[in-house]
Amino acid sequence: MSANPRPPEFQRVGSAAALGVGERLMVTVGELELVVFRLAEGVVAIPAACPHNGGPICDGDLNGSTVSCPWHGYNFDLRTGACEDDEDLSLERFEVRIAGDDILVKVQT
Amino acid sequence: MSSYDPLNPAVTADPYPYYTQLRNEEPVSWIPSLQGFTVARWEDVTRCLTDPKVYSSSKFWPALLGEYDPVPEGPPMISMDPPGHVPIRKLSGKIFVPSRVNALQDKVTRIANTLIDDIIARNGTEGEFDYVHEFSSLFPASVISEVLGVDVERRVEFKHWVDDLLSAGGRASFPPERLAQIERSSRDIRAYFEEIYDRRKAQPGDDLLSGFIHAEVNGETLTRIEVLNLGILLLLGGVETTANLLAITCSQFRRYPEVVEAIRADPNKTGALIEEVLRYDSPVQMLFRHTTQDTILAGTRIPEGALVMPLLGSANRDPGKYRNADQLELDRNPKEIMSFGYGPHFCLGQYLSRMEARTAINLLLQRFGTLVPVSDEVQWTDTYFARGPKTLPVRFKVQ
Repeated sequence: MSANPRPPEFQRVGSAAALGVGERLMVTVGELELVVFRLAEGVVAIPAACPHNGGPICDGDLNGSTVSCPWHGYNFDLRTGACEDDEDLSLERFEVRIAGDDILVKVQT
Repeated sequence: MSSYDPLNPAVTADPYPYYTQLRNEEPVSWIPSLQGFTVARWEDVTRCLTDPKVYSSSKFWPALLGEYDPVPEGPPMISMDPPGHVPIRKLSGKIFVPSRVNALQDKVTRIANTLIDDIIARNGTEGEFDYVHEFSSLFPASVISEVLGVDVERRVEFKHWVDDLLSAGGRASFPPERLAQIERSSRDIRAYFEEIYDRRKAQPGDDLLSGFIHAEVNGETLTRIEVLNLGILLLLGGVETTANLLAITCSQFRRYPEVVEAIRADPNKTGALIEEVLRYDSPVQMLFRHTTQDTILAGTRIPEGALVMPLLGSANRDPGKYRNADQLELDRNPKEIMSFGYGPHFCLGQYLSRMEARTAINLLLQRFGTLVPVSDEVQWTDTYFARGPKTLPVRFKVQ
């Protein structure tokens, strides 16, 4: 049994201690592909595909709290989900909790 | 039925039975006349367009235009791979985000209404006119001229230049006089943009080309060649595909009168019609990629350096993706279509193109109580890359 019981809708996706600031973790929960970033401000989980055109934002350059999609260069602020290049776009951000060493992400599976 | 050969006019006139054959029998097929492989199924087309490390765009322009490239000194962004194409793509992409495009709505409506006024002034309140020559080829050329800040009164020339350049893919089968015409258009479009560059460099305006000339990418201004390439590419993209989309849409009005009635009854359905027409008969039929390594696609080995042609028009008719894919269904609401490409080179101007098409079709049906092609037969352009009616006589009546 886990030392850190979690609400059932949260999924453990990795170790908090193993994810340094500026690092990322690719995870699959059910059929959903996610990328989890550790920022100086905390841990953020987003879909692996860019909301603009489905590009691999999971592989995008991270500059501070801004991730840039490698396909079209759209920049998103991971702290808010806002797109710097198109006000009509925003990143979906999944709720994240840290419980002990567990990174927990709330997703509908 | 003969084999699929895009240089065969019978194939250009109706490629869809050939696409069915390719999807069923040879989803990746060697085409001797083009010395390349076609890719016919949705899943495989997606793979080609989303894996630039294997399927590179770097030879797109040479494959399409060959010696008729108006700016051979450097590639336009359509012929570059990420990450190299990203900075310039991003610069130009800012112009076409929905908020900027929506701000053009009044201007686009005015242009369409003016063209309809001109048609009525020339042809009266009922009779016949050529929809391609009098509307669909002029409307997008007028819009993109205003967006770019080039001389809108030269829009007929722009359309001829663009038609000629985009037909260069068929150069292997063209007679000398046709090739000479393409060469003239290539030279003329280059000369025009050189002239505009000099004018805007000396006297910047608030137009797009002035913006490009003075914009900085990674701390450096664009070179003259980069600006020429960008201007010409945006003109090509802005003129041809939307013109064909509008003409293909109208070409269906005779075959599907119930669809026209449904749109007249509820103009909010025009968006659904445009999406379905894009899927059913794509204005761009194929793209060009080259392999960077030996690879296998749908069980077929493709060597490094090979020309690969994802068939967008075929992917859109893949029954694995859409049921009754060969039928035009107004209520289909296709969520994903290949008509604007996919991946890093997803069409920059797709939002503008869709907005133009919805606006134009709504206004045409609002102002004309009758608008129907006079014949079931459509004369198609002789290019295999772009697809659209060459001419489309219609019967009309003002309401």
